[in-house]
Amino acid sequence: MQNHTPILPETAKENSDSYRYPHRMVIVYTLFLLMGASIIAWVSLQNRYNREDDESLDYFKEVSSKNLSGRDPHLDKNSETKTNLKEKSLGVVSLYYPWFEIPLPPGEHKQVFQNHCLVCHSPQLVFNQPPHLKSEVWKGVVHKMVANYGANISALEEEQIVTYLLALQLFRDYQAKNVP
Amino acid sequence: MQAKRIDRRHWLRQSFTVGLRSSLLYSGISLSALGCKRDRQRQENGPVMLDNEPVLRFPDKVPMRVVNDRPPCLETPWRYYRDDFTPNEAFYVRWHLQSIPTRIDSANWRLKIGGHVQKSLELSLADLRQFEVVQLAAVNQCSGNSRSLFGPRVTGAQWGNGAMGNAMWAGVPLKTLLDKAGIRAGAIDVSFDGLDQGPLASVPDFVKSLPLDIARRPEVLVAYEMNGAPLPILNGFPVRLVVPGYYATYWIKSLSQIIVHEQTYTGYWMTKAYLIPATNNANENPDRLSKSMIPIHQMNVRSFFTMPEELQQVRKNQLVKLAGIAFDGGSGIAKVEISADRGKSWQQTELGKNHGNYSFRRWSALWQNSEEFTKLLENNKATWLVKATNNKGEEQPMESIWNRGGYMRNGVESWSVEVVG
Repeated sequence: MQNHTPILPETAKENSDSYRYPHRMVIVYTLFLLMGASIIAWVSLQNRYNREDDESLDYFKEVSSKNLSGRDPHLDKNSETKTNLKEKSLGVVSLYYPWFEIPLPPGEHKQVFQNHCLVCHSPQLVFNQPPHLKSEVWKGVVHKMVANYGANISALEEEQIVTYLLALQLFRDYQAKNVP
Repeated sequence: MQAKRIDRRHWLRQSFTVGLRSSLLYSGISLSALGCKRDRQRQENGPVMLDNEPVLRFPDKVPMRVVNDRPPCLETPWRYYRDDFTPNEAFYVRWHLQSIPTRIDSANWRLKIGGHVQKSLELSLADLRQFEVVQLAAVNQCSGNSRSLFGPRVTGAQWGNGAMGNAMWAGVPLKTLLDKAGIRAGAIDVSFDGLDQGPLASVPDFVKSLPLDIARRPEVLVAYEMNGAPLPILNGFPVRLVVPGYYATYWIKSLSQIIVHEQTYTGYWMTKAYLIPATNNANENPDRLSKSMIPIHQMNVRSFFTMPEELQQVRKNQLVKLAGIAFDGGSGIAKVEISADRGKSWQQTELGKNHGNYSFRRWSALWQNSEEFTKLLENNKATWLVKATNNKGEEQPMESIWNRGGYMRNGVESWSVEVVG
């Protein structure tokens, strides 16, 4: 004989204990666990940021407390460790070099210019030169890079670079006139 | 250190605006004009265009005009000269060669002193701090300051007037270090090298030299502090040479090696670059270039306006306070005069606090428009000139000098305001 369970109406389902009991317990347990986890996380994070001896945070602490000059009064307490602390307080000083490269306008021999000139300096140095320079002046500048700084540029390439520099100058003069 | 919150929308917006920004940057369109909200990180570090010129914020620096970004050459914004001392954050920057030092472990850094000495030395930063500290206010001015104002124009880093600064330097006198190493008889020259290096093997390292008698002057310092703080890395951390009264080309940044020589040092940067004509005030004619050239050395006398703002509007009878700075190569400023009638008559100004002969000297004066001056107004503009005289009696020339290198410009400066009813 098959045992048919009676089909109950929706309202009866919700009201019966067999449906309500596990549903409520899931919510209670989840809340309980979440509270526990967040308390543990909070306490451990607090500890980490307050710990005096955490070496990984030393650098930031020193930088932020501005004792870079090595002249803080607490450094003079113990003359033996004074030297070490002074050295340490300056720490590693590093420079984050901002990104800044000017997109070069198209022109004949642009590639030659890119290959040989930008090794040593930014195109900004070129963009910044006085307007309306004669080609002899540019020739002199490019030749100086070869003669004085040993740039690996052939005589032909020198001419090609000057061609591009003159095109660049026209572009800049146009830009100076037309861009507000 | 708080972690930066990044959500998806922020990331999308950022990646979009970075692309947009780089494409608009050189077309002279400002993003703020388009109403785009910039995020903080980019606003601090990203390039901005002002008057069609790039302004960039390097670490520990205020946004500064970029004369060149690689190697960095940054110009001090003019408003900072209203203080007697130029803040480290706004102090101009000039490097010749990439790569410049970008990471210095101060615990391992050593200053080497060698050559024609009895005992070579290797000194740590802590060793340097053991010596008695000497403090001194001194102007550091680039040889090519104001090069962009030369006529006819010359090539090179195109500085305005902002390649100078005044700071309170603290450090050890170089003489103390040289005496500790013990200079041997016959030494005549001392050369100085920094941590910067040329990008190619063929590029001559940036090394400068001073005759021994100059190097042994008591005011020449190996400075580890600038305005009471360690030097910014861009201004020569951990130590730089301070040669008061001399052009900044000798003030080697991130100093790492000092060598004493028996012969005159003849490196590239002493014999081929930074040369001036051996004429009066380094002047030469563009059509007849001088044949005899010498290394640049002591600064000439200069003065500038810092107040009021240039082309500021003033009322017809308003009392206007004029102020500015003056300095020279170490004899000190004797007087600063201004002229409201283009040099016909000169009026003495009041000098401010004296921080020493090598420092900026503040000058100030009051001026009021009168019947007499109303006739001199051109397009309602009042124009003044300023001229300084040093204790040796040298004064600024009315017409600026010219030389092929674009060095030592020191002509009388003019400044205008608009007079309105």
